[in-house]
Amino acid sequence: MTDCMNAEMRDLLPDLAAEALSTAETSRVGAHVAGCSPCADELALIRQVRGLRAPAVEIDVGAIVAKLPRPTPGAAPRVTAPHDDRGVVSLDARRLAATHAAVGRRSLANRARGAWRVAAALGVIVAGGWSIMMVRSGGIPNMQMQADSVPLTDLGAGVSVPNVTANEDGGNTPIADTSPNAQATEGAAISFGAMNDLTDEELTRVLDRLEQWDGATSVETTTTRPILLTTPGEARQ
Amino acid sequence: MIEAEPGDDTALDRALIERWNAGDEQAATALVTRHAPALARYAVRLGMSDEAAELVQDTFVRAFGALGTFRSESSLRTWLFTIQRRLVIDRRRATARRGQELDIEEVGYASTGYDALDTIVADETSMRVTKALASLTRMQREVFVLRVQEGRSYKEIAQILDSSEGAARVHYHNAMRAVKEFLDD
Repeated sequence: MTDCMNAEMRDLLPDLAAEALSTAETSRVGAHVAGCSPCADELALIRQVRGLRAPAVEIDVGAIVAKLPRPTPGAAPRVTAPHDDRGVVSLDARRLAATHAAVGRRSLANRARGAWRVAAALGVIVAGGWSIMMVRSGGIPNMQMQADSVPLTDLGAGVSVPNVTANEDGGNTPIADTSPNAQATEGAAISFGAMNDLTDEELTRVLDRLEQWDGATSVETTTTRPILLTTPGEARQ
Repeated sequence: MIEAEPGDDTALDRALIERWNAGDEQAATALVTRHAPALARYAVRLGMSDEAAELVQDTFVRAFGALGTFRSESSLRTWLFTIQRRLVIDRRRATARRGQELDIEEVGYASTGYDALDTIVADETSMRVTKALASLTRMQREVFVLRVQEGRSYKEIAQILDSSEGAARVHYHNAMRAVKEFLDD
């Protein structure tokens, strides 16, 4: 079966078979088909395909209609005729107003959620900055640190990295860690008070080491854990 | 069972929608009666024979729930086809998630089961044509069905498939060529 080179005519063959063309177009395409063997063959094929019948499907119109969502009484959408230039089937003003009100409520809720997220982020930043400043200044007298990881052995002082959580009174409490590692090193807990005994040079080395270690945790395989300031709620999880 | 199938008259559909919105139950009956057969046939052509009746119902329920968004720049039937096709795709995705169909790339089209069982084959020639349709790619078959069997224009096919008129035209002609080659073999 060869193809006709007249693309326009070929495109119209399904419409001819469906009797969807105007009288003038039907005559024009029909005249072409009468003199074009490929188009006549293609039209015959199209009609054969159209003649294939799908198996009957039982459809209960009443059941479908019974399940259709009803238009709201008194606020029935109106079909606007194409005189509105867009030919849009639109809702009436009351339904539109209700829709807008609903959208407005959702927007307010979304804004409130966003504000809480911003506040939470600011809290984390402030608390984190404060803790870092305090650690670098070396002075949180009552902060106890619980060792639960491998010590930085080359410091010689058994300094290890804890999980710390803030108390309501401004102090800090070690987070109970029940891991085997924590239990094994339970006796290695030290206080920051001991660091006051270090010389300036030793303290500098400790801080330098901490900085190096903190920056390396994301790329190095290490058994130590970063300093983590968590809220009491998180600590219990 | 619906036997007769009225034509696709946009003005009549618009008038019926208006009557339905005014509270006329018979308008809904008329709309369903007008378009249900084509929807059922389309569902079968998409390989959903077993679920065709349910799909038709779901399509109408969804469409009537969103009549406010219907733009009469396309025909109601084209819009209904679009909704039904999305429902078919959703169902296939759900089936795929349950592990019954594994090829996610083909979701929406694969295993459409377009074979002799979906068509009442009267003779040997019809059987060959049916097999030729089954040999088409999923997209070719869908475009071919919409163009030839449902008489949709390329513009309408593009709307239903969320594609372009040019792409629909190319798929149609490729499908026609493939069907001819199959029958010539």
